[in-house]
Amino acid sequence: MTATKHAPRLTWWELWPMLGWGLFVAYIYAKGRMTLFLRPLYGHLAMGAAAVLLLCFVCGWFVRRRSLKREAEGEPVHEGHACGEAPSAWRYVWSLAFLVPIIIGLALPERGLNALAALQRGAGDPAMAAELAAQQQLAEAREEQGYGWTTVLGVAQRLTMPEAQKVGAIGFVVRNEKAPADQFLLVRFQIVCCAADASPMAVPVKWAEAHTLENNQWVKVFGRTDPKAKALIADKVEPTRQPANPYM
Amino acid sequence: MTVPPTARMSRADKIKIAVFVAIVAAIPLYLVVPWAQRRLEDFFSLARAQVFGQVLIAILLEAFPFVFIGAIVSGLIEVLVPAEKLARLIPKSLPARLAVAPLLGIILPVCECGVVPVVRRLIKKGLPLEMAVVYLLSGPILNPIVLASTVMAFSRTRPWWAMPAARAGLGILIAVTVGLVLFATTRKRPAETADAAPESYGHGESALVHILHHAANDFLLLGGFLLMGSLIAAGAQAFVPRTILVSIGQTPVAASAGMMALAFVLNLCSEADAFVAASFVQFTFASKLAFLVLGPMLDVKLVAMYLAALPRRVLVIVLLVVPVLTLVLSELVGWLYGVAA
Repeated sequence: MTATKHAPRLTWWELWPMLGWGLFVAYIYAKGRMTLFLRPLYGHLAMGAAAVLLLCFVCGWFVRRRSLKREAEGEPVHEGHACGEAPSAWRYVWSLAFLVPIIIGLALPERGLNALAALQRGAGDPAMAAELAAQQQLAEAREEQGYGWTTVLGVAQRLTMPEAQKVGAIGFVVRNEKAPADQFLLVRFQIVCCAADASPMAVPVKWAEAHTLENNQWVKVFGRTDPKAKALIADKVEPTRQPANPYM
Repeated sequence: MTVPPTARMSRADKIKIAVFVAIVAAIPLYLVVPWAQRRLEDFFSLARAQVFGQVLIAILLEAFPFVFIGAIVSGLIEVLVPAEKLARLIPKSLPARLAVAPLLGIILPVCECGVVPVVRRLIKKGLPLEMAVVYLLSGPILNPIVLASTVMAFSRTRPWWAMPAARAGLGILIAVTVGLVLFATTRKRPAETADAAPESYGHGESALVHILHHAANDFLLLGGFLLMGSLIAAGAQAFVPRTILVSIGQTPVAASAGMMALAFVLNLCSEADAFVAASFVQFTFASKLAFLVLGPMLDVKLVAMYLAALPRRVLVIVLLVVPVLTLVLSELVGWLYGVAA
């Protein structure tokens, strides 16, 4: 005899995380904030998965309605997990836990990883400076001649060239307390998948007014590379807005 | 006492009461929510809290599609693969089982997040534990995308195939060894019983509904564990500077241990970790190999998810055997690489 088994009925406590998380991801995507966390390709993937998750919510809701109808007709049904893994007493706590990332995600400021993350991940650390060479193969920076807007990585590459060159670069300011007052780091994070794997690309910039800049401030730097000093000598530094995708 | 039909509330009355309650509840919510939102925004404008939040959301957004894909594959297995059919496909002898298990990573190529719901379902369907764990540990490393990214990231290493080959080889070796240990320690126990599989679905419920429903169930369960692991991982990234872990690695063995600690804490996707490992140019071949082998097998979020998928005794064996083997074998391979170079 073949066994007949209905899909188990999910409670609203189990259904809402699917709806909540699906809508949260869709909101992040619609607001264009996905690039603050993920590489664009992975952002589209997350949105696709969120759409299927919302479909699952509809499916769970549909099964729940049918199940309630059968129950009303006097047929025995079972509620909860199919495999009985999570104790039912924890069901509500489990479900509420999904609120945590949603609340945090909505409260986060609209900016990429900050100066603290850059310093923690070795920006400006001589031991980590060697990373630059290895990271170059990952660069997708499109460079132009002269003052064409390069990424920080583009400038870093020019620091290794034998002659000084004019460059324009965009990044955010990281001021290290140990560094001289006329110097700051111009930083841009490079990511492979998400902000968890982001590595800071940092270029030392010499500018007399460096002390007027604040950490995390996005700036455009006009200047020339100084291969001897391994730094960018700035002629002008202009505040600018964070790019739509703050990472490289 | 039964309520006379005339005293029962009509549907319209119920709607009116619901609207009234909603309006009354909305007034304090209107006052409290913006206040709470401002406090939270103030908190997350603090540098460390921002890093914590950013990394947490990034890990979740990146991992959840893969966990969900794994959950859908799990739903497909639950609904479309009868336990008896799976039992017929499983080789009878241990060597054949251990030889076939790593190949599952090529047949069902999923990353380390997606493989957990698949393995959980396969165990429930009656796949022997040693086979399931070998697939769980080696599958993410043998994933063709992961191997391709390793080739790309280490294209400057001579020979170019050294790191991908060493990574895949060690992945299989460690997974099979864990499988053998599991077999040796659990063979006297009664065999895991497979769930009775549904053979048919009544009341016109389509198989698709059941697949999505089981996928939703698995996602809810594993998503919670993923969340727990991600909270710890984000905390570690916000409060433990990466430079401290890197600075541990001043001597060869300590370098490998430091890189393993880094892999455990960073929770990188196996498709991305090779690029991060390649960037640590000051580190030895052995330490980078240890980073690449351990990461897809064990990290904070994976351990949390294994809690939902593996019996406790199996998890203990994995936690004890995998790091030790990774350290010893990576050093050995690193030494051989140095001699050959």
